[in-house]
Amino acid sequence: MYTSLLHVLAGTVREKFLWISETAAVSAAAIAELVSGNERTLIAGKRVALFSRDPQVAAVLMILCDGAASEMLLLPSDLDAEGIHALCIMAGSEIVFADTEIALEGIQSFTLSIPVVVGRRPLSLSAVVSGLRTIETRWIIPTSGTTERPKLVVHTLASLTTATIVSSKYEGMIWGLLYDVVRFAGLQVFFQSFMNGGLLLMPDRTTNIAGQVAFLAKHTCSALSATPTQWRKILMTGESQLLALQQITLGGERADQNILNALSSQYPEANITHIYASTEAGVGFAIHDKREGFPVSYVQQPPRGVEISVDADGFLMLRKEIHAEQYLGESRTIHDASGWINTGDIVKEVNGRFLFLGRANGAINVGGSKVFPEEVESVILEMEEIALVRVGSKKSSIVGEVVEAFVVTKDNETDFPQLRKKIAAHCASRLPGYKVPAIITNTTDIDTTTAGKLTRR
Amino acid sequence: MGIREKVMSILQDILAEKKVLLREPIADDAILLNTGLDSLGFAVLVIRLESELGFDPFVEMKDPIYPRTLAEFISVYESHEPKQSE
Repeated sequence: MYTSLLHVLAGTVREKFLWISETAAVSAAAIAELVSGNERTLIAGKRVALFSRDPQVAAVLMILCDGAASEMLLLPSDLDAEGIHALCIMAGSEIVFADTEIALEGIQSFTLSIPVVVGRRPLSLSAVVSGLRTIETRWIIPTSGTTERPKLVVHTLASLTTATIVSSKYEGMIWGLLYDVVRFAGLQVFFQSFMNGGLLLMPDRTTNIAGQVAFLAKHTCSALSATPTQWRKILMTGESQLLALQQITLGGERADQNILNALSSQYPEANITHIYASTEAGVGFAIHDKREGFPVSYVQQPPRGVEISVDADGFLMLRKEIHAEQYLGESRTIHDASGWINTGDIVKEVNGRFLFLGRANGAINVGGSKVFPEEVESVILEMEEIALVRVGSKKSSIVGEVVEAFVVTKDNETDFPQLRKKIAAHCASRLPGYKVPAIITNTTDIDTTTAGKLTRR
Repeated sequence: MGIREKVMSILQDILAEKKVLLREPIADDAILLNTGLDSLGFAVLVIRLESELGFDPFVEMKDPIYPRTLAEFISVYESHEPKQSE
């Protein structure tokens, strides 16, 4: 029988609460209450989609659905109604569970709130779980925002937790969640705390970073994972001095030497780990030596569970025994015939380390958010003053990379500083902030200015 | 124009582009992330300063520090300014 998250929960020694947010805390008893209700019967064998802006509700929903639903689509919490609808159609969802009313044609929808157990003896979770029938649920995870519709990656609990380590060294650890819990990085933090029976703190991600750090410090957070950009922001708050961290994790974008140094000087006692991962390949490997990139020796002596290779063009390739097999609705597998996954990331050897150069398809990683140059180029080309445009990435010591645009104007007499403001304003009206070019340069020849950059296919 | 004036002028441009209205001038002890500047705005500030001043102090820092206040930010630039040979 499939061992679901509920079984894991029933079998782990728990803190009083599983999760704490600024407004509520969830105990195992509340989950037992929920599981014994009729929701689980409702979703048995069905394709279910989950949507919640409250991470605690999202976490409860995942536990409720795993082992019951045939498929569970995890909808990112920043989606609007249109985005939710599009993904549900793509995934063929039959039921949507949400914390707010969602009306979708042809799809049953239910709202869920966390039950409050008062005034009587709470149900025992192990009693509720014993005799529970389970099936292996497929976890459907959308890839992050692209110009086209996102792809849906088919995972299992096993493929999502290949990097989850259960160990006595994590006993008593208090984890902090700064990511959307249903995205790949957030799931890693969720599973790591959940499988170790630890407490997970869920700050309100809509408040500013100083407030989130203050909340984490107040509840004595000891293990925290964030992108390098988020870490730089955290270090810019005075509240960061209140954190007593034992485990620091960086992921989602390239970790440079400066942020690793800054973290180890502020938190000299902490283990510092940077992770290489993608939604498709899952977690590739972790680096613990507080140095950027990864050692060339990983190719001969790979870290646990993963084979690593770099091809002649510098493409980083991974081979893992357990990983996501395919995209939903596509028959081709994510790996090639011999089991290798091309990550699409280009690396270069420098002094015994492989350093990350960027994405082969030209995608720009702005603080963990993906930007495709073509989308920005087409928006700039909407302006009648522009003849040619080329968008690329520029390295940033603060957010990893920013968008840079080179433009050729139709009329060279144009007052460029004025036009630059107009281009920026036009982009800002059509694109989210991270896609708006940070630098706009006037040029007469597109090809020479972009020479030496990564080839875009 | 000195470093302080350059920082202030570019900072005000960026805040204007972000349509942030300042009710009073930014004080030296103002927390940068409370001025209306998010980390992307901060990145843009650093990049534009690099093209004006010719250096980015956050690239090669011996002792990495991420400044909290405007005064700290300006002092990072002043202490990393390449020595003029003339």
